[in-house]
Amino acid sequence: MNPPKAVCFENVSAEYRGIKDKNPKIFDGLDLNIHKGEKVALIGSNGAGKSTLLKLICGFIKPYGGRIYVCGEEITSKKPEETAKYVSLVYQNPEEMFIGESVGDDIEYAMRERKIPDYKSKALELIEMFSLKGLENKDARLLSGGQMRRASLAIGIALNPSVLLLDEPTANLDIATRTEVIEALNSICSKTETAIVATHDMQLVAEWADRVIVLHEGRIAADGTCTEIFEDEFVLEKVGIMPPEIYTLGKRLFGAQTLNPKEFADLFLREREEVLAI
Amino acid sequence: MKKLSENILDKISIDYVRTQVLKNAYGNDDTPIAKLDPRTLLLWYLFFGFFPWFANNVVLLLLLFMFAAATTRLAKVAPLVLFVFCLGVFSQTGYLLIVSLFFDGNLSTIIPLSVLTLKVATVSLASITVFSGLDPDRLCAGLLYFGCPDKLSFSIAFSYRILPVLMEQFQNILFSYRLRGRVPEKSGSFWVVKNLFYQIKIIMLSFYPLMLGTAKRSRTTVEALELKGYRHSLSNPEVRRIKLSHLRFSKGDFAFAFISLVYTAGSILISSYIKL
Ligand SMILES: Nc1ncnc2c1ncn2[C@@H]1O[C@H](COP(=O)(O)OP(=O)(O)OP(=O)(O)O)[C@@H](O)[C@H]1O
Ligand SMILES: [Mg+2]
Repeated sequence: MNPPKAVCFENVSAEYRGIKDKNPKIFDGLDLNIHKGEKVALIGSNGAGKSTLLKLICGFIKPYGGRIYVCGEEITSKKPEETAKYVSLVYQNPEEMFIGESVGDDIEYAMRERKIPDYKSKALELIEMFSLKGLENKDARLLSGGQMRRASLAIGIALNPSVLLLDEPTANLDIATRTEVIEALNSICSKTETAIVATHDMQLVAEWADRVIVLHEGRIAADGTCTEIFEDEFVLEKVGIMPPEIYTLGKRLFGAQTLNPKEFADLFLREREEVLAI
Repeated sequence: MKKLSENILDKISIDYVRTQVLKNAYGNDDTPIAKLDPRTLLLWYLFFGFFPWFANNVVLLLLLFMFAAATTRLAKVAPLVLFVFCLGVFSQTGYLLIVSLFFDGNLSTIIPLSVLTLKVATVSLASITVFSGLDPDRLCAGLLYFGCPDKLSFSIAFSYRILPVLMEQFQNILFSYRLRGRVPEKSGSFWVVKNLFYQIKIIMLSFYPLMLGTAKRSRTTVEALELKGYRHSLSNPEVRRIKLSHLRFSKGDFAFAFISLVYTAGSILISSYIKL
């Protein structure tokens, strides 16, 4: 039996209001199931509809046809205030998430509004977890890019959502901050059940995801594990995706599937020992 | 009332307003009006924006109104703009006209009121035609040609550009409030009022982060402009020449000017024969 569904799309169609007479259709009869506990990476070229898909799941935009279920509840006609019990969206642009007076206030905000007991101590925990200590009284807009991103992650999981949606969490970050954010992501994923990340960062996909969904022109072009997708040259060609370099390198040198530097290094050392033994 | 208060947030869709603004600015570049040279349109507007104020003959005004309406139709103006237009005319004078029609509908009150209404309506329609037919860049080129300071024409183009961006951001911020907020409990007799209050409150609150965000963003914009030497280009005649070099009068411009002239002259002639 399949594990219970976290997100389920049934024949969903969505469009935006167009500037010219015709409304651009983004999805036309899309079906999709995401099960509890999955770590899903959503990839695809610019304009493929990744952000739109995330916005549909959290009820930011409503489909004009079909149904969307989150954690077994139909959310198609629900208010965002209600869907927020199950889903949380961390925007592509963290600045748009800052509505409080300071970082600390922002992290507390949702818990305070929803009268969650002990919200102060929970907020402190989050501040600790995302290494925002000492910044909690600053205006969030004045933080550095990486700090803003961490603050937005903290805000995103404050309500303990069962489904966490992240839109390009590693975009525009330097390497050190990127590593920090990926670490934060990993620690988040031990707290939430299901996470869906829209991203262009193949390294992140390789290191983090256990299921990859490739969107292309509003359709699901491929769906599988990292290695399945990276091996599918037809899809890669069509959608224009490059596997991470460490993967290509591992494949060229050893014909193996190495998803991160550690796997590659282990393999490399083993191979070298074998060569030396001869 | 109850239905409305439950979901103003879902009904007044900022998304709708945003697309309408975009439509008005960029969406109708394939209409006959949009093919005209910006200078033709501005000159035409100079006439149709002023002349009606000095005309007092109902027939003449009616004819001019019909002409302005025809051009508006040609320009394929966005529905929202037309709605705002109707609202504007109505709130200025139209309601007086309707009230007087109901109470004592004699000609001596209706004519002066309809004169005023027609004037307002004609001038507004002419404005709508011109500003829908011109996308911001062409509007600026036209204004620049007639000696309007570059800073002003730049501001116009810039605000046109920034407005949809701001609205999108506003939408996102509002959604942040909704995702983290809580609708008042559906109980008690004042629920409707409380809910209405909640929705208005978050709409108001959303402006605050929007303004802070904009302030930060405009600094980036100004810095980017300065890097490109924008201020120097303001006073440079060569820049002005390059900016205006693409303007050309075509056959369509002459035809449009000719038709407008003949129509106006004809209207003046006709109206001087018909006396109300
Ligand atoms: N507010 C909007 N109004 C109209 N069209 C939109 C709007 N937002 C997105 N689109 C269109 O919807 C399509 C999908 O956009 P979406 O933002 O979902 O893409 P994406 O996969 O997130 O791309 P990216 O990788 O660039 O973030 C694009 O063609 C885009 O032009
Ligand atoms: Mg996106």
